[in-house]
Amino acid sequence: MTNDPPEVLVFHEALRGPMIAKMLTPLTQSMHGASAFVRTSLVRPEDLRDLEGLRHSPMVFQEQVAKAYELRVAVVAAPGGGRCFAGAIDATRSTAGQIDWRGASPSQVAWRPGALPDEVATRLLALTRALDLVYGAVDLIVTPDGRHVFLEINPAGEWGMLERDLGLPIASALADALLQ
Amino acid sequence: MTVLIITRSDDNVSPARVAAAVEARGVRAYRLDTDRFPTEIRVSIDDQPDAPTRGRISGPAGDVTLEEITSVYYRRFNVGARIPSELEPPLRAPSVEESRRVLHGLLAVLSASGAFGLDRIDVVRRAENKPLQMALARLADGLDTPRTLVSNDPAAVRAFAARQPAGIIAKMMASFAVYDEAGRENVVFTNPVRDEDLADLDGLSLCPMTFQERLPKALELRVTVVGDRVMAASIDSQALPRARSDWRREGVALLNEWRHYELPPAVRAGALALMGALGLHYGAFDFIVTPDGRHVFLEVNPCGEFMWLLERPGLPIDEALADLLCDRARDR
Repeated sequence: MTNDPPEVLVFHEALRGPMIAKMLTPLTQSMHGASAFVRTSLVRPEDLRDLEGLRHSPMVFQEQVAKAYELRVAVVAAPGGGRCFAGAIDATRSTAGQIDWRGASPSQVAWRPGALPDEVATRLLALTRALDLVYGAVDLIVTPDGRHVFLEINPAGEWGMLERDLGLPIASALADALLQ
Repeated sequence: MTVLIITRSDDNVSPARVAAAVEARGVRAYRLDTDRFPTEIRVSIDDQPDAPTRGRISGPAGDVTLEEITSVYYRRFNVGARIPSELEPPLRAPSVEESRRVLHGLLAVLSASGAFGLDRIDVVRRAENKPLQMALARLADGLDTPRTLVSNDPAAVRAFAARQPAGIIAKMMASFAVYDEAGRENVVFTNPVRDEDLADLDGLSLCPMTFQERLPKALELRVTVVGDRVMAASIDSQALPRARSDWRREGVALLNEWRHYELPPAVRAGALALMGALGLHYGAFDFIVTPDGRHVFLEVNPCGEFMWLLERPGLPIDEALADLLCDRARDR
């Protein structure tokens, strides 16, 4: 995370691979006309020659992680016992969606059931509790060699599509947590 | 060992006084004027999977790394103020927001790694909640609280007023100013609610207000708490007619009238108990002392101003803040 152009170049050099840029400010901000600016994008060589825009806003730079698919995990870390509900999305068929699935058109992406290794689920529950949260929506990348790479957790992140498209009983788990 | 001071370049002399007191204790003070970020100050936060978060701030005040920062003095925040106003709003607004998130992220990483926060932003945001303050103050032994109604319901306000024989006052939780057509600043002060006001409460459908029983005043107090040090000053707000409902109306005229005040031990203990419940290390309390000697708690401001109290009555608030910032830094 930086607004310092030389830092970006040093970071990129050390990566020895492709790099993406994104912002911490969520997509809803962008609905008023700045969507291209806010989505995750691949940083091209010409972008690296012109980083003056960082004077007006810092950005997040990250190694581009190879994707088999992405997971959205609704974590309900109720005191008695937590549960993780995972949906997988494969947006690699869409050019825009390869970098950020939110860039793909709805017809090109579909939610399908996602599996989460126990060890990853345990860590997500621990992270959610470490942040003093009961609920969090986590974004993960699953790499072609099976690594689960954590991107972020959103305290009030959307889960409705997972329940609607996959029948995951998230509303029921939240109701249980509220009544505990 | 470095104390990071979070403020803005147009702040008054207070952060400079604290910085001088910190430096006098042999500790570096690094001032981050948030309005200069991101345009003139560079901030980087570097996360690698196999190492602790690293970070660096560089700007007119020099360079500092996250590892060097042992305490944070959070005072004022005006991030992104120098991002050109010609930038289109759909670009400028997310730029300011992104800049805010980066600085808040930096401060959150610092506190997670054990740096002392005076006070932490998340603690400040929770503590400045006035209904929460009232709820916790009522439970703190030694604090007397006024009857208070926060509402946008005209019927509830009229019913509340009818139960207060001495009448009620109205105020806002956020201190702010309204600017008239000529650009004149009109600060929204505390005002008595008159019968004609009660007859016309339609404006509440556009904004709720805080209503409180009107308390007779002998004196008003500003009690500044730093750690376990409690420094009280009083003002005779009844000496000037325009100051009677709110001394800030005559704040300048009254500057030389602040006096040392001996706070009763029970009230002192109550203030410290509330500080503990709110998780604060700094707080600026307002009290009314009634003619019959009650000390009634009004509010506590987590980042409340103290500058004028340094001169008169002469409270060593800057020194107390520096002690706390440096002692906690050494404790790490």
